[in-house]
Amino acid sequence: MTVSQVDTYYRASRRARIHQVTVRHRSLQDLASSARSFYRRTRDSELWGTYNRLVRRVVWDLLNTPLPASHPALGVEAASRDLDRVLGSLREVAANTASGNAVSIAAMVRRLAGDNTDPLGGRCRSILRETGTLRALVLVRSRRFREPVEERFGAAGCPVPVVVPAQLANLDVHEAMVIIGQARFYDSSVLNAPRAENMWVIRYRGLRDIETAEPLLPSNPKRQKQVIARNQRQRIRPTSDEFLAPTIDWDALRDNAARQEGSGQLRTQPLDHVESCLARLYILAGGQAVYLISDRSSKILSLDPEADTDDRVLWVAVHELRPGSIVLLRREGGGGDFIEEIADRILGSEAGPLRLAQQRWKKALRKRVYETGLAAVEDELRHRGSRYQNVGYWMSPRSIRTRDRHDFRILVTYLGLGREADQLWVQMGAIDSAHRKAGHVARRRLLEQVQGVNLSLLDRIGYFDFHVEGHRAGTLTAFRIEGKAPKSDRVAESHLNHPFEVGPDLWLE
Amino acid sequence: MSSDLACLEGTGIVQFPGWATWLMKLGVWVARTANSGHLVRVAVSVPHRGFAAVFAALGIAAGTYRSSLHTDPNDRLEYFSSLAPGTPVRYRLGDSTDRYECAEFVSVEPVAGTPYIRLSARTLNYIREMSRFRFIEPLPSGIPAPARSRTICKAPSFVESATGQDPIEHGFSTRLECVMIGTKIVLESELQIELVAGGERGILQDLWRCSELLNPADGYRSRIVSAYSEPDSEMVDRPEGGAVLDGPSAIMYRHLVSDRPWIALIDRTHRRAMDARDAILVDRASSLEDIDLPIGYPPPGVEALGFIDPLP
Repeated sequence: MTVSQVDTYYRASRRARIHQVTVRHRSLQDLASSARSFYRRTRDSELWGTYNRLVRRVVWDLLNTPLPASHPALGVEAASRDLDRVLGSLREVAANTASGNAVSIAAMVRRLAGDNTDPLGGRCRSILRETGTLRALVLVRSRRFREPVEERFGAAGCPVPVVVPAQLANLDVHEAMVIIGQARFYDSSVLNAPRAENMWVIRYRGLRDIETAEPLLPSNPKRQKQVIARNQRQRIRPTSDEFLAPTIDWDALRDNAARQEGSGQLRTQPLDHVESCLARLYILAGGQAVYLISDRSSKILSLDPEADTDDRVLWVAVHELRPGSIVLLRREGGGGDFIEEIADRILGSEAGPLRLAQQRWKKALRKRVYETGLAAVEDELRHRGSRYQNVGYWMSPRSIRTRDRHDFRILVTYLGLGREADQLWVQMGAIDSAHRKAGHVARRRLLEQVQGVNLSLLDRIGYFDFHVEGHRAGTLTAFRIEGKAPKSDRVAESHLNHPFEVGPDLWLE
Repeated sequence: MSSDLACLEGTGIVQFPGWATWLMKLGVWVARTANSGHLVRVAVSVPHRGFAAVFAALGIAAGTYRSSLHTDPNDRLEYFSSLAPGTPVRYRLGDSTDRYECAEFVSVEPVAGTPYIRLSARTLNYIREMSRFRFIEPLPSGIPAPARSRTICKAPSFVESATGQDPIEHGFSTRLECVMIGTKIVLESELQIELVAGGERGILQDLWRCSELLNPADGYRSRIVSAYSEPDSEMVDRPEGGAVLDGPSAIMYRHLVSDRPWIALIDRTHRRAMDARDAILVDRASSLEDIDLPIGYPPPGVEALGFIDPLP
């Protein structure tokens, strides 16, 4: 890249013009309005939780996608059936005014399922035709609709690249970009680091939006006054709208995960304190989710496309993962910890007895914590002379042994395994060594794979498969993290690192 | 920096865009505050990360530059007398060559009341009047001395035109003026851009003299540290003028340069831009006060926030 090429981004910042365009769709606007009123009245009722989630999802997709409501990618017909089903199950317990409104909203959705009008798409295409440029883009929020929109626009004689926000960072500056939906629900960089000199934001009439880009950095107060005085411009700060905001219903996702236990997508395991651990749920691109252990010491293989070539595959602390991070997980064979499998392969016939020994002291520790409490166990270990009391981590399946041999001896003696202390330390050392080797092997193989891969696919699609040859790890998938649960849950250890499908009715991007 | 410094691209000479000159000015100003009574921190957000860090870093190097050669005869005598015998040194002998050689320092010896320096290099053992060794300094420890003489400055006319400084003096001595923390491979490639000044051609690296792109025995003025290989304070090593933190990963290592001024650059489209912004705002919350940057308003597309911390 040259300085002149980089300058095009600054020129776009200087010249960018944002055009606000509104379109009408009476039935959809009525649906959005009714659904919003209904949601405001019933949002605290658990009874209407599933119903509201389904409706919010349908409304969100319709308001932010330049496709007709009848387009199969939007799934309005399926959503309508789901709504009827939910209403059927609620009919007896919710025979009141709310129920009547819910039925009429479901009827609106049903009618829209057959609606072929496409105000967002139509207006978008007419803008693109009016600009007469081939260097144009359409920005949609959701990856799910990128391809259907591109196909439909192509079929309508308006071939144009359709991109999602994650792709913008690596895009050249175009002449025109049409942003679908309210700009306030996009990252502020869409407007304040523009990738086009002319941007049209198309939304449905009646939906409030921002008019200018919010800066990333706050100005010094003095300067801020000067800027406002100079521009004589007032930013519109829309009030938050819980109904429209694309939030993730984490409780519903947890329920969904629990449901999938029964369907065999997640391995079922008894959920007691001996076999469980604290883990956090992450939403992954491609409609998947995964539980990752939430202690502060655990690490996971991650991919950083911006890092130096030799550092692109790296171990990162799980607690540092956030939306936008990329994690490497195995989908084949039900997922799970592939490092453990490679380590077991390195350990050969010793793996079985060594793992049993590992489970023995861990189970004893968890049992003791369950019986007496974490703080009491830590106090007791401190009293016995242990230098560190990282009991929470030692309980986790990722911990193999304590860092310090002295602490390990105190720990296992406290657990009643004092006679085996030395032997256990050596055995755990063998596992630890195999894990380190396995980690190096996996990282090296992945680095080799990453060299030949177009990592921009991760922005466009959100996940990418790597075939790690020569090891049982098989196919690993690099997933972009889309969401991180605000709190941890207690889950069966066997659920960790197993990506699972999340249902289409969940509130996702 | 010379006002006619410009880029050389396929299409010809391209003047530095406004954002590039503003970032260089910012770097110069930040470096000049390095010895004031407080520590300047400037966060800058840009629409694309390309070249922002290298231009800010070039400004820091330019704002810090001063000759580190010992010109005062008494200083020189004191300096050489303090060197341990056997210290590997590099030196330039005479004024007509643009190359340096390496040897072991032996001693300072008075000859007829005039101080002379004795050096030993492989089979040679020689003594020269001290005043002839204007350019001499110890090699960094552990660096093997190159067997042959090496060029001090690859593009002397360009360096002179661009900086107005003596290119031999600029290229000879080692003094860490600036450190950039970021994606090493990207920053190193950006230092290769072709520049032109006063009709002379060179590359950005000729001006910035990053140690990673030089022979270990060469004199350097700056360093790039990867933000991905868990840098420590030894790698960053207290740059005199300040540091440039390129991107969110680098900003997470700002504690390594907490006793130096720094410029933190955030590409607004980076997936962790908000994390980086929040980290900066946490620092700002505990700073002394916000400051106005006395280098004019940031150009379009650039946002800047300056504040000062007390000296540690």
